[in-house]
Amino acid sequence: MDIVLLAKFVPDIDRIPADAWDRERGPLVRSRLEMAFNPLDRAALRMALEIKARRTGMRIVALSMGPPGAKKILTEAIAYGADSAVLLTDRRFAGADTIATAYTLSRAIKSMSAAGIIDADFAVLCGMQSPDGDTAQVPAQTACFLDGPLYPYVCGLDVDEEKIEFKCLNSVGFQRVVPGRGPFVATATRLCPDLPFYVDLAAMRRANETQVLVWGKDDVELDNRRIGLEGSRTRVIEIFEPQRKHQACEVLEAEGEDFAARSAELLRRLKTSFSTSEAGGRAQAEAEPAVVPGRNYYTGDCVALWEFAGRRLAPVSFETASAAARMARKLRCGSAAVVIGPEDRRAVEDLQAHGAGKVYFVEGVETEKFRVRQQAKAIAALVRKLRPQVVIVPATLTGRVLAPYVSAQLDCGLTADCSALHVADFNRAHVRAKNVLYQTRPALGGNIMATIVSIYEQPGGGRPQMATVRPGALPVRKAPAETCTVEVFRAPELREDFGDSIRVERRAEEEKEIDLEDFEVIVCVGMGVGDRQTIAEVVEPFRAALERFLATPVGLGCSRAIVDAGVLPHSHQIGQTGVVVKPKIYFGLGVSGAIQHKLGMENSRTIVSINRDPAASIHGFADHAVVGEVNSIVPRLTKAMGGLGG
Amino acid sequence: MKEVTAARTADAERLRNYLRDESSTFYGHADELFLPANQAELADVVRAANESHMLLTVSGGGTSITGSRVPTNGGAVVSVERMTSTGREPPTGFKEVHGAGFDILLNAADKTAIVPPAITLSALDEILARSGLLYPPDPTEMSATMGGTVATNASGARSFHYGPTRAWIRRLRVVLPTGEMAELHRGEPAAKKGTVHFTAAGRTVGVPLPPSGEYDMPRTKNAAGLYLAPGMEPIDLFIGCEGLLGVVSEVQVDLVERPDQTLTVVAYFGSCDDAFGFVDAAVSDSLKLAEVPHFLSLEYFDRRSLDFMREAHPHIPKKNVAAAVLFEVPYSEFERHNPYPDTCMLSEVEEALAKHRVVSNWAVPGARREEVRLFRHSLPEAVNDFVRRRSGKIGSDMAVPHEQFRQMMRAYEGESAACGVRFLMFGHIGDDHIHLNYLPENDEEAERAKMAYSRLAKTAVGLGGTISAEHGVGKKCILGENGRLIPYLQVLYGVRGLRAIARVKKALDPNGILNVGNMVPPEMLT
Repeated sequence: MDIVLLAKFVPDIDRIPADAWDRERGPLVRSRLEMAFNPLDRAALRMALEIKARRTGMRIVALSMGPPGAKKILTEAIAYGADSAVLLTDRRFAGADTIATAYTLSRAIKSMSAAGIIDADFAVLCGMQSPDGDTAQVPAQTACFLDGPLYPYVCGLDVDEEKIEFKCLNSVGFQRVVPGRGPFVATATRLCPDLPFYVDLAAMRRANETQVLVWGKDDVELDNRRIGLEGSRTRVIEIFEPQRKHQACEVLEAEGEDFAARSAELLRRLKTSFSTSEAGGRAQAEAEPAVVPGRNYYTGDCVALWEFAGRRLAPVSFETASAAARMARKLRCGSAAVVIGPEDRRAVEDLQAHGAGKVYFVEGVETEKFRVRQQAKAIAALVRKLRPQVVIVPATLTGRVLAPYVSAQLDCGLTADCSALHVADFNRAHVRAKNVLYQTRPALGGNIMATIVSIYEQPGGGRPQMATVRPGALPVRKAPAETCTVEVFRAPELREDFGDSIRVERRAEEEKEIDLEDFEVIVCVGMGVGDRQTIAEVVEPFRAALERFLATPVGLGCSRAIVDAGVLPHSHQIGQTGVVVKPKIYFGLGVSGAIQHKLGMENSRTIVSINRDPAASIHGFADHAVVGEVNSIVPRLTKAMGGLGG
Repeated sequence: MKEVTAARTADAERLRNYLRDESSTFYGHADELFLPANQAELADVVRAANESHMLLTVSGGGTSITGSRVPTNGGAVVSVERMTSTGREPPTGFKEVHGAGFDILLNAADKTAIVPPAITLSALDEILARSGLLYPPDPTEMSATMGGTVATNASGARSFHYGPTRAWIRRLRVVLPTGEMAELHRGEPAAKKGTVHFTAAGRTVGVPLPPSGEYDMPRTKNAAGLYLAPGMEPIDLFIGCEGLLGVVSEVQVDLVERPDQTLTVVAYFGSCDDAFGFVDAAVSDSLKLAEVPHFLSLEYFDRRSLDFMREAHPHIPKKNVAAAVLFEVPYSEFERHNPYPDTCMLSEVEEALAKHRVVSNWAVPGARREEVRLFRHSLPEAVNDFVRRRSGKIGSDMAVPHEQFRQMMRAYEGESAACGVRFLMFGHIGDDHIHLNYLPENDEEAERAKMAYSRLAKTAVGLGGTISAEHGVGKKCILGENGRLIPYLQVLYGVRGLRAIARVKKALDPNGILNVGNMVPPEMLT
């Protein structure tokens, strides 16, 4: 077996030069950004090298689609140990969205196989997403076009002469995947180690001496109408600067002489704001323009995909359902919900309460093991039957890879991680489209916002407008549907004989479930303070003192690493794979604020961070930052609260 | 103090930040803070302080580790932080360029820029990068201000190739301690008959130089004491004067074209001797590299330093490794979109290293400079983390002439083994300038380390070296013969040398108001 390593040449969003912000011309000038090797693709290359080290005769071929400058990262890949590289570069590829990109890549991979550059049995490895788009769509869509399985979210690799085993994250914990024959696609997460920052002089020499193959459109057998701008199913219609929700973060240095006085002042202010304010949460209801009567560009119902978390419906499902119901009322169409799994009475009640007029239970797919291809094919079959105009999927761990696989199956546009949806007319470039879905999402690490629509030459044509929605971004509204019909959809028989094996490792059943969403104040522990002793001796006294001080229950949250280490049960986990919270006050103790965690708490009304690193990313969106060692500051704050009285 | 036009405040909260520096060992007190916005306001503050005999301490970025900006003797503080623009029309050939909150006047054709004292090195670098130019001195601390780096003659890793700040100052404007303005150009008439002359506010100022034998500057990279030498140019009085002789109000610097790319190599050697041998060859140019134009820097890490760094960089080889040398060489892109130097250059460097029995190497292309920076920083970070839980660290800053380097290294090893305190060595080996750091476990060990340090300082001076090659002197003291603290600079120049500095100081600051306490003890100025 050989490995194709997808390498993307991306703007380096960790190092945005100050002059890349151009207030007059637009929010961010992309041409002023430095370009780099997508860090997650580097992690995937590292995995590929580990596999190759245990296999004789295995080849790693790096593949990139991009401008001529992308040759840089391919040369780097060779220096690190890839055997050869192919650069796909052609003006006619320009303007491709994820689906056109995945199509082009999959065709190039087939050409590579045909030309003997790689074996007929091959694996595709890449990062789960890139920092410019953050969509996580291309790997899933590429897997779909190669008609192979997708093993997303690899966080660990176990390889010997006999077998390869990926440890992958899933919504119930982990699954261990031993892949069978290729082609398959596996994607690396942030938990995979990066490549070292160096090679040696001999490796650089070898890279200089190895030719990077440069292929244009004519070197790959493909359908001209499916590449570049023409092959794209989405159009970016507006780029704008995100509304800065925050005042600048107020910094308090623990080393300052008057730390005691200033921290007491901070605690007093937090108490005042806690007791005087009512509403929690920063999510704003969207103002929607009235729908114009007339013949719509798209027709059909609005469908929301629902997701289970354990035995209950995941809270984000209520957001997608409310959005679908709201959209359906405007568009005067039906609102439906799709649930993967057997019929469930309680779920139907919940769904109806949030506006679903129809509920479809999809049966005949495995629910224990997360087989993306199988689930996606079942949903695609149902969507083909229903012909809805809008499909909304929660942007959870599951939804973010399921949706792109479905969209590639249906050949329809998909926008990832939307934070706002609304309906309006589209009228430009000779296309008049009535009442289409405007999908707004952050890009470039949240530094810009983009509004996207799906417009085709022919109206809709039975294809839906698809979007995944960021948890916590849309309001939940209980607006019961008058009636609700239930239907079981039997997934078509699907052969999944790839010779792979998947073993699920559920997180241990928990003794006590807590509903972190119910707390108005949350203390969250991060990597820095996540051992049992620190939690018992430093964090717990602080949490208890805070309860007395604010006279309210205070919940204990944590980041994923703490759960994985077995220190706290999963119900305490905040973030993309845990719960999404919007408390009035959030305290982060040693929380760095990585995007996965941020997604779960950024809508807290007041964010206080205690962290030794003044440059921690959480300080970019916190309201108050106390800079210093958690172990020394927190006890001081605990004591201070005692002095200030309850 | 009388009315001045500059903004002023006596708010304790505002003043708090100006009472210490990065050393965290010196703390001061002050009654008032002045924040002039331009050169005239600055001159006004100094003049007023002089007239009312008020002690005045100048503050730049506060990145010193010698207490040089700390007002230990009280009085007032004047910070140049609001002087973010030169506040004047660009002369012919110059144009005004903005960036990072500062304005500079740039003459790209003549490769020179006029900059305000408050500009930080990182801001200046950001502005110059857009024109493909570089201000070569690279003190490690990029948040230092231009005024501060001139006052301390700051240097860094690349000073090996480019020299310290002194080599890159074309013209200076300073406010003398009397409040008069002086303008000094590189290449102005040199000192004659033991006196150096320059013009200020229309009058000629003469500064007496010490007679020969009284003040012999070491022939090494040096940041200790005033620059006083026969035949010197007046501008050199003010570069590295630690604010004793004036406040920098405007600086004109020389620039070079930015090197295209930089290759960083970390070479791991099996013995210190192999490492020194390689450095010797690089410094003396006996390597005869046709493809490598020059070495930008040559840095050393001993085995103990590598042990400290291994926590952040677990892949640092351990087996058979006694030391590492990190060096940078410039290169140009040899083919479009290739991040690496061409094969000829790579082979040549490999061969040179092989000659000195290198064990392994890490090579990093220009684009990954941030990782190189983090790699280097992982050492001070690990060391600081270590000492935070113990009794502080005692770090040296000595340099010796190249011929004496190995002898000095032997002295470091011998003295350190004898005193039995944990230590490590790293630094600018290309300049024969190694930082020896003692990491005492307790106060008793700290005392022993201080004594060893004091003996080593004398050894360095005896070998014709300096006690401070880059950190400067400020308000530092050192253990003397009888176990009492003496002014740091006394080890290098003796009491006679300190008096020579005091004489120069008094000639320019008759009332003794400016930055009193730096270099020479205050009682010597009365």
